[in-house]
Amino acid sequence: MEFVLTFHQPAEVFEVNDDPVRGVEPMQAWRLYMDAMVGAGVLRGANRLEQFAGTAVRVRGGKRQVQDGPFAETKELLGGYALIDVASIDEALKWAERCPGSAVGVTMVWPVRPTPKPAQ
Amino acid sequence: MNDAAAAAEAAARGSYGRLLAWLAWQWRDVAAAEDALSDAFAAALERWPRDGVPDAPDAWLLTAAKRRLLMAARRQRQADDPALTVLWPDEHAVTPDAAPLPDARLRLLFVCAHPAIDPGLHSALMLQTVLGLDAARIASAFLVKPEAMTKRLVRAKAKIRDAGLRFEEPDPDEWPERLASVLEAIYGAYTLHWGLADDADAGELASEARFLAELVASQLPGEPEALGLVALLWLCEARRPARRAGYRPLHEQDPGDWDATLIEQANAALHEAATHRAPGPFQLEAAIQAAHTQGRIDGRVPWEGITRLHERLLEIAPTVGARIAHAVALAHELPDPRAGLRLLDAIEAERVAAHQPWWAARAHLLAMAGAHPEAALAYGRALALTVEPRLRAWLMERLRAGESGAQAAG
Repeated sequence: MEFVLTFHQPAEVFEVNDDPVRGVEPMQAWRLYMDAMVGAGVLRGANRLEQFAGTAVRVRGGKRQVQDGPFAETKELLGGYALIDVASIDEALKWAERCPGSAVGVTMVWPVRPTPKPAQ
Repeated sequence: MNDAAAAAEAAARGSYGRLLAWLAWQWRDVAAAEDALSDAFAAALERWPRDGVPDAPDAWLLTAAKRRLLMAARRQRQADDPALTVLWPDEHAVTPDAAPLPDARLRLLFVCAHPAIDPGLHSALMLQTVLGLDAARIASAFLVKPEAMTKRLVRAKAKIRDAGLRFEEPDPDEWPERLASVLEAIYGAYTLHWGLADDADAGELASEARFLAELVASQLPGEPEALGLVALLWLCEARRPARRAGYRPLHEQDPGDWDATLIEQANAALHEAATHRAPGPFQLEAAIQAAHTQGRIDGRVPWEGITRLHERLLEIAPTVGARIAHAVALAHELPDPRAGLRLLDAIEAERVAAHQPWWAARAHLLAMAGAHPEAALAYGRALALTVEPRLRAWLMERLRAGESGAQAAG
């Protein structure tokens, strides 16, 4: 079963992580976490995101609305995601718990809805 | 909090399991008994502040719960059942019967760990029924979605009712197996607290499980494995306060921080169990713990004896955890730790790829063998697989020591 984990953390955490001195330890934890997912053979893909640089696009009644992030209404910013393939939701929750981000922010677990096979 | 609320809460803490076990036994329906008891508690919170706390709060709650169960049964047109009619409480009774209830909690434990119930749910059912933990807390302890845990528990309770699982003592021919399931589920409940980062939560869960182990041992004093389990939990609990300062493997702990009374109590239970000459997994686990503990106190860890105990344990229960512990003991017993490493590597990779204890053990043995860069990698992997802050701090320390050792060697 595939799940997407999304990593949400407060802005201060990203500032620490990006700091060349204070960020060493947390970034090592992230590297070890990703290594462990690769080692366990569950990781299908992962990326970090420019969490401050998101842009929102909406079209309402034919009108276009473009808004730059960070978005004040969300306290926690989306800093990355991983696609994993595990046996069950219980396994996915275990990986979410182990995520270094879960101790300072929140890790969301999203079951991937299987795509119907295209007709031949 | 007012007196009535405090009394209701005290009754809930102290007697919930006792009341529920009795009601579930009489009605053969755990879910209905739970509903009735929770209604009774709600009624108490409403009535007691107005009318005063009754002399026998437990008996009051029991009477109220029975009335609710009977009302529900009548609605289901089962009131002609004489077994139910006999139990119909007298509406006009001024004081409910305050005679002590027969303790049916052991019966309830046997039902929770019945072979017809998914073994993965045995511990959760015990925590909910006998101890009254709510489904959301149980879900957190097991790290599953609260909604999923609630559903699984509801299904299990429906099965208990619909399959008519007996609340009587198991027959002699199935007794050993049934008792083993009960003890395993209690141990499973105990080990849950290792996964909780919060001290208060972990302590509470550990003492709930310890309570269950003590309950079974006190009701079945002639069962060596029940004594073995309680000895094992006492030995673990004796050392738990010492861990508050930070994680240390047993051989680095200060015995001065241990609870000597609890250790003595455990040793006495273990001796008592040994007189039955019927060793089982919990007695062996406890004996290993006791040997480590004694070794730490008098300065000589009897590795050879510990390895032999692990071998006996593997004959009975060859779990991944037992295989890892055996490998570590062997590495300490023999002059060359590589024999232990070979045992670790013999465990199927897919079973341990995401298993923190395997990586920590491997790292430890690699460091013993002087293979520091490999040890550092394994410590790193172990680190990524645990969330327990003290264990993480210790693994980080070892990882750093390994990295500097590797640099010095290179």
